[in-house]
Amino acid sequence: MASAAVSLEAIEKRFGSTVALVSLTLTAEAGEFLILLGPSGCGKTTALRIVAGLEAPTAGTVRIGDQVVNDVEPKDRDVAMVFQSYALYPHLSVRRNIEFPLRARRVARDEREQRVKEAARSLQVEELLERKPGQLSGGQRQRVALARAIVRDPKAFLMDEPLSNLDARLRVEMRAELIDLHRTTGTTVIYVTHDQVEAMTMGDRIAILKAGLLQQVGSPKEVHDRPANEFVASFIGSPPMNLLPGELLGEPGLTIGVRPEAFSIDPEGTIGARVTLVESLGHEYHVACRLRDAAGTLVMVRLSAPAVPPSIGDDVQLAFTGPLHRFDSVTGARKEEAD
Amino acid sequence: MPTSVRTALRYLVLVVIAVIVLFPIYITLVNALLPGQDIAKRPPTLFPLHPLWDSFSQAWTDGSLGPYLRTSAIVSIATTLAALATSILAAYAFAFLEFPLKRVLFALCLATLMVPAEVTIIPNYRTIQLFGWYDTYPALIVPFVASGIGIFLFRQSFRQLPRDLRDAAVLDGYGHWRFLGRVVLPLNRPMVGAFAIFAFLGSWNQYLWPLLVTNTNARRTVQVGLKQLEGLNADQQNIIFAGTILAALPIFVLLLLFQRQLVRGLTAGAVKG
Ligand SMILES: Nc1ncnc2c1ncn2[C@@H]1O[C@H](COP(=O)(O)OP(=O)(O)OP(=O)(O)O)[C@@H](O)[C@H]1O
Ligand SMILES: [Mg+2]
Repeated sequence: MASAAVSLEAIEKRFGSTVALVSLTLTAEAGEFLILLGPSGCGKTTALRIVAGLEAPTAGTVRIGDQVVNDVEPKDRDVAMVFQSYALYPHLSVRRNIEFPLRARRVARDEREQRVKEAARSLQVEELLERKPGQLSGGQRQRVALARAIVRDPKAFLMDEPLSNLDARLRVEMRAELIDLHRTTGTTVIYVTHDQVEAMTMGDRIAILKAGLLQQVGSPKEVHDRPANEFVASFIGSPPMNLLPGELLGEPGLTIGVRPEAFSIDPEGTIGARVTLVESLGHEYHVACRLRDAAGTLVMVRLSAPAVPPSIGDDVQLAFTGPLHRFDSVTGARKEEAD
Repeated sequence: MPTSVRTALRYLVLVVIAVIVLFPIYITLVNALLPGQDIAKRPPTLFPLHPLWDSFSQAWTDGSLGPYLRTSAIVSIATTLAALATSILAAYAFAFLEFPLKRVLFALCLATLMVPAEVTIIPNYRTIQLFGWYDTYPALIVPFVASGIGIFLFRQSFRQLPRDLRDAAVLDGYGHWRFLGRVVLPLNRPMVGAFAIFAFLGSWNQYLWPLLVTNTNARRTVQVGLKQLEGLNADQQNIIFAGTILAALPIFVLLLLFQRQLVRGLTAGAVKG
């Protein structure tokens, strides 16, 4: 098993006056599925390209295994990248595409054929080997791109939003398949996405970036249950966490985070509100309510299916049924205190 | 207007344009087949009732077109290959590499497009003399091996290649030469074909420059050779016309063979595949 840890130490990256990454320190352990999550432009792709060697960091150290690779050529870093655009060579057959990295490494013909066959089998593209990329569907192209990555048996996979061009159903399917692939190869994966559902379902750990700054690293459960700051709190979870002014609960100077599922509609509840919108997803309802405070704060309440949803315009009482998250209302940082 | 009428009108316009374009070629052919004294007749003869096919063989032998055509072929093929090589390599550098003064150098390449060829003739002539290349193949070839328009066109075409393809090739371990040979050129084949044909045409149809830098028949290209035919047969104009057609024949054949490539090259980039 060639899998290796990948670590970034105090990585800084500037493009002219644009700062893409600020002192990023992050390690993907050997065999780990690490997610880089964040909004558009936060530096996810840049971080990945720095690991691959396609971009040189302005400062900092990149390590693969125990080797510092800052001065190692991309081809010698032994990482495979899967691009959002798939980056298949349009003039080459699927077979030639998958073979391409092996040819460059002058792998002997017999072995080449063997490995292409295996990679094609594990991604179920054996039937497509003689076609050109132009004759494939999006999902098939994605499989070929993955086959081209695994055929090299690299130390790590770098994947940049590999599923974002697929339709919703295929995305779910490929998600399961990628998890499977990771389990069978045991290779380190750094996976970039801005889709928090992908992040939560696939990652061993999630690293959340905002404007080039690392916000939090942790397991999906950790970042969900104990978000390090307001940004993470509102980025993870759907619908996002409600952020209420502390004054509302007699805790000035704080922002109180309440997940939509941590509310219930209860006649005994202490918070009065009026329903402004009810969305049904079949198995659950999203109910938007306007509080009766001076600002008329909007909150989102999530009700599971057996509950009977209120109607728009109803006056309701809300109660807390889950944990409250407290954040400093100036810095946004999480406040730990005995509840 | 019903679409059938519109289509008919469109075809009518195209036919008229085609006739206008083809007429000079047709009349050249007719004149080649008429007796010399009939060519000046008015109204002109539009169809030769007794075609003189001899004109062609006469032109071939009297004008010794064979050797001239050979010289033209050598010069045009060499010029085309050299121009392809320099344009592709320079364009690759401008499209994919980072180096100091890149923008300035590219602007200089573009600037050569703004200089009319007439302006460069005298300095080029001097240079050729200085090098002692008068009446040699290098004199006919070397001034045309670098092409500003070629560099520009190939660079534009190369830049349309998605960045991800370049990155994927880098990670796969492909250096510049192999990336150029295995990915860039195969994907730009229509462009290569179109440019090769234009370069060949341009070189083949040169007149003033070969006339200026050669003085022996062995180094004269066919366009200059035709001029000599004119001197030989003042009263047999049909032979001059026949010679003209023979000189243009290789170009016709080339265009017929590569017609599809040419059209695809001209419209390359219009539809992204
Ligand atoms: N080659 C470049 N030149 C200049 N600025 C760049 C370059 N590449 C990235 N940037 C800038 O760096 C920042 C981070 O870009 P990056 O592509 O890493 O974002 P991202 O998180 O991948 O976004 P997305 O989710 O939209 O792909 C952005 O502000 C971007 O404009
Ligand atoms: Mg990106």
